[in-house]
Amino acid sequence: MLIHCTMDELIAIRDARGSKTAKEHLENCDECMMEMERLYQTVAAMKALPVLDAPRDRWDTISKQVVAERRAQNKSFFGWAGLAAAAVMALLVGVQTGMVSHQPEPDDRVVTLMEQSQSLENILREIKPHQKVLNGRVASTVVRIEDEIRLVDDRLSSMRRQRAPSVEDLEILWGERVRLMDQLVIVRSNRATYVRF
Amino acid sequence: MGEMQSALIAIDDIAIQRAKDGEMDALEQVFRAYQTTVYNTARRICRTAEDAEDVLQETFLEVCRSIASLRGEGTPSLTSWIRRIAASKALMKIRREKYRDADEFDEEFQGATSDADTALRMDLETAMTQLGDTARAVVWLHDVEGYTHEDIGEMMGKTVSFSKSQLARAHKKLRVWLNGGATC
Repeated sequence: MLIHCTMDELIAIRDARGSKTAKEHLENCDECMMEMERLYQTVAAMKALPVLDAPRDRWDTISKQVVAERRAQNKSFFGWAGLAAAAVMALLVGVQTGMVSHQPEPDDRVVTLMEQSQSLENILREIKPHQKVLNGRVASTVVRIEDEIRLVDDRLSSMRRQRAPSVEDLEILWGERVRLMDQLVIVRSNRATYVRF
Repeated sequence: MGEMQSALIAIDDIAIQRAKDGEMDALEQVFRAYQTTVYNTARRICRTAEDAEDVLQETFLEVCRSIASLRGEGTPSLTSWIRRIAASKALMKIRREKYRDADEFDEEFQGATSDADTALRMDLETAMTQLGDTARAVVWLHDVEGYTHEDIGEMMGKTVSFSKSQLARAHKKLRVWLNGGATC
């Protein structure tokens, strides 16, 4: 009994990975050769489908959103810079009035933590998986960590509004931020982050 | 892939570098150069024009946010990078929308017509819309855009065999709907 090539076999031959047996059959079978020809024609027709134009120009919406995101980032950066300056000022005032002992300098630790946080932000930007998308489980972890970071940022923002924020509190919050950013980098970089169907 | 490339408007290396530096007019040039390519990929994978427009927007937002970190120089790397983002966003879209074939990918046939209607010849565009979302995405990405089964499996979080079997099933369906008669 003559066994014709299956669609899988025809596609495999077309893609140069077909079995020897299937290739030999194809060469000697008009019916399978015709099927192969149909396959080529279908793909050629797909490639020849008309090019479609997007019905609306989306650039205006995109550019507005990009500009808004950049403003928010700048605001956040300058907010942190202001917070750092406030922390250093508060410490200087403390030193001048003899309120601060000669223990390891907490402002140094805050500044170090801020630098660490900034470095982690840069790493995150570098590893941003633009060619990948997150699977559901990893995505929910990312969302949870990002929510926690937002909470820390809110608390840092409210401290910024205080006249003399506590350096110790700043250190705790920035330490927490670094810890969360570190987790985010690990999740983003180590996990196989592809969409799961 | 060649047909899609023909829709491109030329963009030079200086404009690409300026876009990487975040200059909005250069980013707009990138958008103008690639919007048709991205929209067509999205439109052929997604079910509706609205979804394809969303994918277009999401793709270029991602491009604007991440272009500074793009490795490689010149138009070819930018092109493959943008096309890959578009494909990923479109796959995300069909997943998010949870169309009717959410989990069972062998439910390709979604229209009122049955395989038995072999006398009825469909045109290719109609036949493509009758395929399930995943099968349609695989056949488009593999046969038209030139992605390998490895690429497709990776983007979908599935195996290479999954991609191969989706492609074969899609062609079996198309064979019946376009030409009539039995499948291989």
